[in-house]
Amino acid sequence: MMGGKHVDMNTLTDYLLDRLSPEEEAAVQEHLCECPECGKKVKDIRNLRKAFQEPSSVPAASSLFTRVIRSSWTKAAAAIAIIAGGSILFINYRHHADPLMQQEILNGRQEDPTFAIDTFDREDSIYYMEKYPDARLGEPL
Amino acid sequence: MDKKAKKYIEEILLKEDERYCLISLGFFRDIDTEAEFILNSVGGVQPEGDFLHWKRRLLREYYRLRDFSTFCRRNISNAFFEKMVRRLILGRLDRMRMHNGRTEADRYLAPDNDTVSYSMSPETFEGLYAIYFSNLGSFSCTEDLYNTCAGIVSAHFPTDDAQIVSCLEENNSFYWEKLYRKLRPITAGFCYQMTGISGDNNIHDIWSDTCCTLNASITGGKLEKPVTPKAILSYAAGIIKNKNREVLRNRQKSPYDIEDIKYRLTDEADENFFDSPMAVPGNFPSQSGDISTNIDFADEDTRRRYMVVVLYNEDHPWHARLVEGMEDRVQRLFEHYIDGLSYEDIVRRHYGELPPSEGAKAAAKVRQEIKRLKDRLIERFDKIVKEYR
Repeated sequence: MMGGKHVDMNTLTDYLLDRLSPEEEAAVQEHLCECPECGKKVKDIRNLRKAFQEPSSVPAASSLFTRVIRSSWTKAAAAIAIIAGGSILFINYRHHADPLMQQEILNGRQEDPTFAIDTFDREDSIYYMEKYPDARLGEPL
Repeated sequence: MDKKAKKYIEEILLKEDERYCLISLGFFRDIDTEAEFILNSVGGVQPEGDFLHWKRRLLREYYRLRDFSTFCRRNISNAFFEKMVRRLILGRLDRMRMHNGRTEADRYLAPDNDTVSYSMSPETFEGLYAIYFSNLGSFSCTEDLYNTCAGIVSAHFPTDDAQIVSCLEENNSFYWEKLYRKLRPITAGFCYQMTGISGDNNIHDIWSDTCCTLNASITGGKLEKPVTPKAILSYAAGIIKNKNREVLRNRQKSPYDIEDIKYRLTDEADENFFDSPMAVPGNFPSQSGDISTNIDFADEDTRRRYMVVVLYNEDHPWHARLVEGMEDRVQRLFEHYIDGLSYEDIVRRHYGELPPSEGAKAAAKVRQEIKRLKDRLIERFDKIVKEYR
């Protein structure tokens, strides 16, 4: 398990990843307390481990999406969008608040949009009269 | 107080915490307090005679005084305790796999560096935990807990071949995933030989079609009984051959040489067959690298622990890839976290004495660089793991 005077890196790795049996673990522990060099390696790895257990204050700073979101251009664009959106909402609100304009809008919606469809084929239309010159108004053909 | 004894005790307690998560579970207050407790309350703290014997005696006495057995009873439903037990079992399984040879099922159904016989699905663990930990016996110390896990492993593993086949027939995704990964390099080998298709992306369609067809056949019970691991792999090889024939037919090329090609059912790369670097199983990320199968990569803490080891160990096969292009920054990370240098000290070491305003700016830059590097390393390691699994 141990190469010469020191514990080899693979065994230290196994020790730190809990892959050794209790007997092997005790042998490594005994050596670690006696050998400053191997003890330092284990201490270094543990210190590094602590570094990665700390919560990061710059979460996902490297991702492109986050960088785009955080850029000042994005903030400026967002401000413009908010102002424009606010203006539109205000105008809409003003129009909606005007009962006359609202009524106008409602009237417009209630108008029958199919008024022109059958006009050509009505008895009083020019088209009808030209097509059936003998027909008289009010009489079925 | 003997410094040497304290050093031994601290190392032992640190390891106990790493293995059994005793600080996170709330059993250890902190290492210093527990070491003090041992030095003041437990007799015979001086290391004497056989170290292992001394350590065992010391810990037994310590856990008895701290009432470890009650602690275990109270934490039996604690998800974190359960996770710790799972990690212990996986560790034992890994050892068992390393000491025993590859089983028939491993040879035919598992990727070369993986195992199906010595792996434990989440459902299996739940079952075992319910059996062994619901009527909890007395764990007077951590060694008892470890021995129980070792006992579970020797009683239930390696998983029987017939049971693995039966899990495949029941469409158990845990085993199917491993079989799919096994089929990838085999597909590459056949494709290269039969149709000249090479490259990980180009074989994808044939591989995924093969996986779907094989799954439908096994779950639909189309194979002749009794189904063996070897029969499953042979059937899969047949499907891949057919897919390649189809490709050839589409190209309107006579497949006269297909029947001469035979896949040798072995886990060793056959140089005559896999004569392209693209097709050698060992060159597939999922097949190579020094990676322990039973390290629970789904667990973030375990992943971080493994990453730190890779980062520190320059000889690890993944090290170069992990730090590639970031060597200088990694050096500064080590200087800060291992050598204990402040950001200002690092600036002084690398840039010499700077005017105060510039120095402060450079220190802030180093700080930000290290923080970002940590995220970058985590991201890159997760990517490597994903690729290898």
